[in-house]
Amino acid sequence: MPRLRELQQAFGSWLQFDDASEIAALVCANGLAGNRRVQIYRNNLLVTLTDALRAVYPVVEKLVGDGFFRFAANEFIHHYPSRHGNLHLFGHEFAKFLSEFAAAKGHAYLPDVARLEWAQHEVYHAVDHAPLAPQSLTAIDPDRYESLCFTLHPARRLLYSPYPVVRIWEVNQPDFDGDQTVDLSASGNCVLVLRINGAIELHTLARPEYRFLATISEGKTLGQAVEAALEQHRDFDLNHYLAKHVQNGTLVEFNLA
Amino acid sequence: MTSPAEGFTARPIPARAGIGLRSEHYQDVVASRPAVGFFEIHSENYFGLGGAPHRYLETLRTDYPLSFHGVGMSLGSVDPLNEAHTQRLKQLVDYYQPDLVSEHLSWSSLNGQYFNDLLPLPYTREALNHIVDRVQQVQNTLKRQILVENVSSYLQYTHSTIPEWEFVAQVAEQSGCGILLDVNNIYVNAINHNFNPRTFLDGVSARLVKEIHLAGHTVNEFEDGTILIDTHDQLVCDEVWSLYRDAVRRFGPKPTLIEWDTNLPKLSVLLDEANTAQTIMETLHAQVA
Amino acid sequence: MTNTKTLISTAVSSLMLLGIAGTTVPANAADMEKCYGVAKAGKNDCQTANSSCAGTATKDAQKDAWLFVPKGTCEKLVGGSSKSGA
Repeated sequence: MPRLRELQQAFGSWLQFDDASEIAALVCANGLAGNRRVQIYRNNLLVTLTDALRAVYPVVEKLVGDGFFRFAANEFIHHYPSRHGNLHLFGHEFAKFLSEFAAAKGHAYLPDVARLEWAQHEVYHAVDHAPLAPQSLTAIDPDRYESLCFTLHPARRLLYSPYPVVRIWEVNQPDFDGDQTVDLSASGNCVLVLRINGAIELHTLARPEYRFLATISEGKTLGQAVEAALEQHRDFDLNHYLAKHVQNGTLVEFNLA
Repeated sequence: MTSPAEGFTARPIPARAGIGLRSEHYQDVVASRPAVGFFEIHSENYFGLGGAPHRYLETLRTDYPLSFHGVGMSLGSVDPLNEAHTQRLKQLVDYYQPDLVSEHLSWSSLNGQYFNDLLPLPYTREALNHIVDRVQQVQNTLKRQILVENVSSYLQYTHSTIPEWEFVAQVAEQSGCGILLDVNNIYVNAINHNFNPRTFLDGVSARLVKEIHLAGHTVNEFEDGTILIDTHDQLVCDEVWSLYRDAVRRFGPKPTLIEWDTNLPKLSVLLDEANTAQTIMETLHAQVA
Repeated sequence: MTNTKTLISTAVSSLMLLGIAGTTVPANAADMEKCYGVAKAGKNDCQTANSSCAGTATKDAQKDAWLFVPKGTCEKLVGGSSKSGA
């Protein structure tokens, strides 16, 4: 009689490596044969995980079509198995996988589309945070403003792609009924993914604005972030962008470096 | 979960019919506040720390009692219990104070890899001791009783020595947990493994049953046999309603959940199913009284 | 550097004249717009997929050659060099 551990290892070998040699012998064959019975579980694993990927990456699926998506999902599941009982955590390496996936080589924008979709998925579930109360800045000595370090709201992600990923995303939404043609030679996107009242929004940022927020998100000071933005454009409008990102709830906390 | 409240006070689930809360119905449920006994959620769908799912759940929690039904704890695995998973569940339970917290009598992970499915356990002394120990660990962590649910299965192991109903009852007796009796799963297994589903009901005592699940399944017929699959994608069938009546006769009215996960219909269809269960409980209860 | 310092001083000072940002205050659930992503909250469930039942072909044996080529709306992505790495 196999121990529980041996049984689960035999079942696991079947589910993971398609090796039915041990598990088939442990299953009763009344009516349907043992191999048909264990096949249900293996198929269910693939269908469940593929559907979990579909839920997070609907635009990637639409771009490549159902057949190729299932093929890619299948390969992905074998290379990056699920590590959590919560399926919402499954699939974050899909962009990396697509960038290495030989069959997708001719579609170099796909990993960036996947990164954009994963960012939205993370932002959807991220923790809430109260907005910044600007009056609290009165406690700071004006001589030290340059040393202010702001924190981004947990439900914000910054992403840069050399491809027009926002346009690609938009024309592949279920309710989009215009021309789906996208010119890949159009300029790339600096994107801020944000959550407003529970809904996910994509905002395209100007390059210096992106540099500014990206530098802040790295934990750098306001002084350093402004320098980085000015390197991109010497007329960077700090007044405007600082107010904008406090008001839209992106900058939520501060401390002094 | 930075909510206005510090948490919620306990709110008991009545012996009435409830429905599963699905994100597709959030808007409809919040707007219409249907007259159901309780809402049940899949705990893992609220493992995220914030955003819309928690706003909806907090809103509904003020008006309804809740049941938290877990799918990913992998209770029966030989892996150590996933500490991060149980701790996150504890946070949620402490905050929302659901009246019932349940998991499945199955396993779903090995060596840290998850199959995200309810895989069957062998019904042996060893497996029984193992799962009793695990249930106690979870109850100690959560500092409360949990319920365990009998699962649908598509195979039996040659070395199982204990009937499923006895295994389920023994887990509850020995660990102090309650039973979430899934009547559809009993029916599915009775057909798949050729036993009388009433024998299953007879093998479980009423005091252990704290909740009942009802769902639709799919019949697949092949040249070498028929197999029922627990698809949660259609109406509860007549045979399962009949078995449910027997369950209510035997166990009395219990919180009863209509489960529907795939091809989700509009809210009113779920409410109609819940109404059917409610009527059965009231009719049979009136006969007894 | 003086320029940067002045910029920052002006920007932070005018920030304090703003009211509290209103957009991120958690909304009443009933007010939440029907947004993209609502369905994403529900991937965890406990059903068995119907398409996973016995008698169907092995789901991971899809070796038809046509599956190896993306055939979706990606055909509408034109121009540029999509072959260079990002």
